[in-house]
Amino acid sequence: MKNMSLSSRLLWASALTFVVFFSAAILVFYRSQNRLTEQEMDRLLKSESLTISSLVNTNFYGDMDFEFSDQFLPLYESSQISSFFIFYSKDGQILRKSSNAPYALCDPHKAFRFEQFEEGNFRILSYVFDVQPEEGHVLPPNSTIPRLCLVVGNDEGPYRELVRKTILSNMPYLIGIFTAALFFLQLIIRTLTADLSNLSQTLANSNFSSTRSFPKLPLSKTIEVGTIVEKLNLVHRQATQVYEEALLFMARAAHQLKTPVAAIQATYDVLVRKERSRDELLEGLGDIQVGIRQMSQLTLKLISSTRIKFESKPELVPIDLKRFFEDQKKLFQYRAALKNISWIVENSSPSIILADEYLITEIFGNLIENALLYTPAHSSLRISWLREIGTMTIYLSDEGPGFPPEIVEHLFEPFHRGDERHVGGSGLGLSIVKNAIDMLEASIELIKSGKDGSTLRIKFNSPE
Amino acid sequence: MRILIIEDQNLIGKALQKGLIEEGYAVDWVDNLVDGLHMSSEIEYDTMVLDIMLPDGSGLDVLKSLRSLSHQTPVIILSAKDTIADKALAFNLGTDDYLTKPFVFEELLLRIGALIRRKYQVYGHIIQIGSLHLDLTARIAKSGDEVLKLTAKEFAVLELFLLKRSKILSRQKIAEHIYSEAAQQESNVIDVFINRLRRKLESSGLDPMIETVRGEGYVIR
Repeated sequence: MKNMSLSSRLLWASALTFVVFFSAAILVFYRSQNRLTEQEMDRLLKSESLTISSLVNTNFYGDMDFEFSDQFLPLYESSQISSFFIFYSKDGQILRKSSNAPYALCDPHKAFRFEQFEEGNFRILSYVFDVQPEEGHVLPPNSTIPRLCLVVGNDEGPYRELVRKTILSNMPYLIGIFTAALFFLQLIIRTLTADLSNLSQTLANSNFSSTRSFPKLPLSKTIEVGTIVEKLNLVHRQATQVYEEALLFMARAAHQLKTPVAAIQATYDVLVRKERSRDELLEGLGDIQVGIRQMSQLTLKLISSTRIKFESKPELVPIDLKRFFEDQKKLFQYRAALKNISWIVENSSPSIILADEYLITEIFGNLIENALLYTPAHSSLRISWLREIGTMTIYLSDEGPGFPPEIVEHLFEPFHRGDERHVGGSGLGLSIVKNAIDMLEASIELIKSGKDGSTLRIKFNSPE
Repeated sequence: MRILIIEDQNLIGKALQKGLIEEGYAVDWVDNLVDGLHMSSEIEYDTMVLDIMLPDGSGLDVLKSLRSLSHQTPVIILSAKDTIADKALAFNLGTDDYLTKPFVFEELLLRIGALIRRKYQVYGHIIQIGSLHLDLTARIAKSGDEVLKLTAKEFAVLELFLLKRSKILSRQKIAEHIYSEAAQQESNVIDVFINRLRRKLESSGLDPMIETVRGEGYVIR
């Protein structure tokens, strides 16, 4: 059962249901035969001919003597074992019975029942009724109307036989109907599950070694399967996009790593081709060191980029921006001093922000590094913030050449840059910033970019 | 032989220039597309080493520009782009060779040598005139079995004479092939240079072979 197809399961379920209904129908039919018989008896007793309790006369002692109408009695008298009757008085005395009657108790609470005697199986009906005087007869004074119990039995054989014969005679039709129903049921199920089967077949025959090998999914005639196909195609498109972005990232990362490797190798190859003086060797080794530094910087950025992507939920802690930027200033003071860049922090608002320490360090570390690369010597780097209800907005301005208009749209994509290679950037800084910003559900916007510098606005949702 | 390197990565450009100069080539190195387009249209180079990803555009634009002007300068692409599609694009635009980064400098030298020989329709790496043998790959000149002690530049000039055999080379032409743009010399330096080369050849027992063509330049016939 475990590996059965959906259509087979539906077919089996339908067949089982059909069998249950079929059996139930036979049972109902059989039982209805019984009920009919019961009704027939009831009708017989209530009919005029069964006003059998005709009062004939009263004897001297006032006892009632009564007889039964001729129309009823012969019916049971004449029959042999197949039917019988017993009249009981109120106190349980047998008043009269047919000659073949077995000993059957009057039990009006169990009016209709089956009982087995030596003579055979009987369907028994107990019926309690009041004796009514026949028309023209008068009850003696002080006499009470007696209450009698009539037990009537019928051989159940003929009824069972009737049911059996009915069922057997109709069996070919029933089997025919059953088979036809199953056939049409199968057709319906197959039609209903055709889409699903096509889909499962297509998916089963597919090789998912890459997003490119994702199969062309079949068109669907049913809304449900159509929705599944649509969703699968959507998931495929999204997976393809993510996969291709990852491939592109890897290709670009590999490309970026090749450049310093090529530089190191070319420098080494040229250096060892000839006998070199000490100064030449030192110069060559210096170049190799520069190449190694470029490679290690790029590697560290790649690690940061990957770490942020896989970082679990940010851990929000209160951070004092004043202190944070003082620490950043210490970290970057050497680079700032090389270009004689002044570091201006303007803070008039409260400076506490709720943020993840690692992410916020990545954000401003990369932004400040970028600004220091581009800002010309003897200029300034300006940082300020503004606390408003529920938000903290930080502004970072430099006096660099601004971002070329053609790259503004791709500013935060990895490895998109202007002439960064001349100043030594990795091409990953701003994409790391964007990923960290997204993790914190913050926003970043370039609000000014021109020849006299650029300003970035970073807005955090942060309660006071 | 004069080579133009268009390479924006400072360390690579510097190493290539140094290595090629030491091999006797005159090397110009620029690090952007605009300068590359300018230099390649102004000077006839024997080979160009071209990077694709430049800060101000694609190095392939230099290639397109050269070929659209019907310049036959051999070009070797030196790029980190390594897919078949990248290479197909470059070859379809008219590059003669393609080397991916990182590369071995020796291999680049061999490829540049092959491109230059093809340019001058020299098949094989040995040129011989009488008892003078020039091994273009090993960059050695021999008189019989004796290895001539030539500097890289002297070898380059001798190589130029033999590749352009029977053609008169002006002083300017010779200067262009041994001095880069940054080191252009006065024209009388070439006369001194040729005289020194002549002496070295003749002291090795070779017949005088560099002729002076008055008012025009020098030739080996």
